[in-house]
Amino acid sequence: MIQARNLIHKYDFEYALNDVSIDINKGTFVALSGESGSGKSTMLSILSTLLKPSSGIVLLNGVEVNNIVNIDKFRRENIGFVFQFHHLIQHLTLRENVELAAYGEFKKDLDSIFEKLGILGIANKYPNEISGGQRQRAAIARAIINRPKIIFADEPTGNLDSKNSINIYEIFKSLCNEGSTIVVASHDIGLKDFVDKTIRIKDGKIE
Amino acid sequence: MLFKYALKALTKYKLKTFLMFIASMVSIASIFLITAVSGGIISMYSAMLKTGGDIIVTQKDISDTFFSDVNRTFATKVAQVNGIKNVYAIIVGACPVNSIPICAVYGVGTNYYSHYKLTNGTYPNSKEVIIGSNIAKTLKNPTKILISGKEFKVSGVFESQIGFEQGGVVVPIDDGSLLFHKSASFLLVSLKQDMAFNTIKNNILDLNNSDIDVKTTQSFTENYNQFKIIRTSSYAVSFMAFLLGLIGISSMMSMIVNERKGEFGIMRAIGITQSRIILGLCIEVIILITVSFIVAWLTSEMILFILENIQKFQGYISGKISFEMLLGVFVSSILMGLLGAIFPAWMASKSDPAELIQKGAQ
Repeated sequence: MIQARNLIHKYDFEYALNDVSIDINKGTFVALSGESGSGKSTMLSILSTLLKPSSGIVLLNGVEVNNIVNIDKFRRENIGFVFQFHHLIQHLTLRENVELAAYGEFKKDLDSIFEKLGILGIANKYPNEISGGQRQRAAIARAIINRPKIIFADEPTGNLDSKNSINIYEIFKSLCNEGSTIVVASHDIGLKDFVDKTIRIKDGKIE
Repeated sequence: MLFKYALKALTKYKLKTFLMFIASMVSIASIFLITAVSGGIISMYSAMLKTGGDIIVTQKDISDTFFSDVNRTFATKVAQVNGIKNVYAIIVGACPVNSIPICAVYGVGTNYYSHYKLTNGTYPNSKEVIIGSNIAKTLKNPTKILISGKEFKVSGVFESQIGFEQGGVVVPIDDGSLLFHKSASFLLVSLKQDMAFNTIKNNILDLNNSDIDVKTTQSFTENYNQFKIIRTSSYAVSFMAFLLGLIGISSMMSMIVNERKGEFGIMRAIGITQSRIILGLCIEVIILITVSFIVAWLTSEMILFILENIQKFQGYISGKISFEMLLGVFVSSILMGLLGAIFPAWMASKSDPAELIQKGAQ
């Protein structure tokens, strides 16, 4: 369960978010949509604990984010993140990229996750040796290796063709069916066919 | 995993890694060389004194043996003190020899001749000298030499383990007195076994308390002013080399961290803790410093070998890298690396993952 109350975020004197409150139920697939600069990436950053709001509170599974002492540990145990530009570490293989994020017993799940995402055969390749779609699937593998309860994705298909985009959405859908909560910020209209709910943001407010 | 990751990161940023390697390697080699060369000077002079005797008698309150003047007739009196095996009067000086502008010259009595192992010729009589094999090579095995403009016949050539002697000239002590206008620089006294130093010291002082100083050669070398100056200078130069290395590593690390900001931001976003990011960068630096240390050590050994064998230096520059020095310099190098890396690593661990998302959104 993700709850946000009265979120305000300002960059200098400009409001990126202006008094936004939302509730996202556990196990749902939600899209944050809106035009560039609408505030959806800021919203995603705040919900995923990467950014502190100027004011307002965020509760993730009942825990108020501001009260978390070890935010890195909380993030590792509860949140997975997929970036627009995959952001895999270029000098590490796909396997090493995911290994770096994995902790404890989850390291042993690496091959099965790679297989599920169809990239087991290229696990030892470097990001610059594979296609954009494959890179984004590796980024998803990294995001889900520790079995997070919530997965955030910021424009995950922003650099992909429609076929690869659909493939990525299908993966998210199946993760959601397995119990994960998925929040995707995107202005891709194709996403609406996969999500349970769309939250539209305009000028820092929910429409 | 962290070790593998550190190795890959080092090889990825080749140029910056190389520059950091050069900075630390030069710094470590400088520490090795300055410590080894200054240590070599001290150990050569110490060895000369220690192999000659257990006690040294010098003029009272002098800062340098070069300025000391002890009446060598005093040696006869000292020899009669109970527990003393031998007394050697020695003059230590330096002056031009042939074309060499400065050369160590030792004036010794006949009882000290056996200290020099002749490789050819005979021990010197009046107006004769024996010369070390290094200076013999430099002067192309001369039959005569000029010491401060005075001519001496070369009666033999000797070998010594001590560089200052190998590159020096030994004259009979009477001739030495004429050259340096003194009776003796100091007396070296060797003791019979199991004799207590303090008793013997008091007995020697009883003979002439006002003009002389009596110390064990060990304590003399530990407290010798010139050695203190050399040691302090060596520490000062080594510290500067340490600082330069530290600054080099720190600035290169800052650049690397800046370039890899995105990478650290990703790490933070995927839940890698700040301490793990710092640890990863510290491992990178430790790997780099270890490699730099090994290369600096081998380079220093090579440079020391070359310096020791350059004819022009007559073997006066001689340094050895001991195990203790290796260990000390290694610990200092690791400290240098970690100190240089810790602030940039801390900055890296603060990388803001939200920036990545903002960049993506633009």
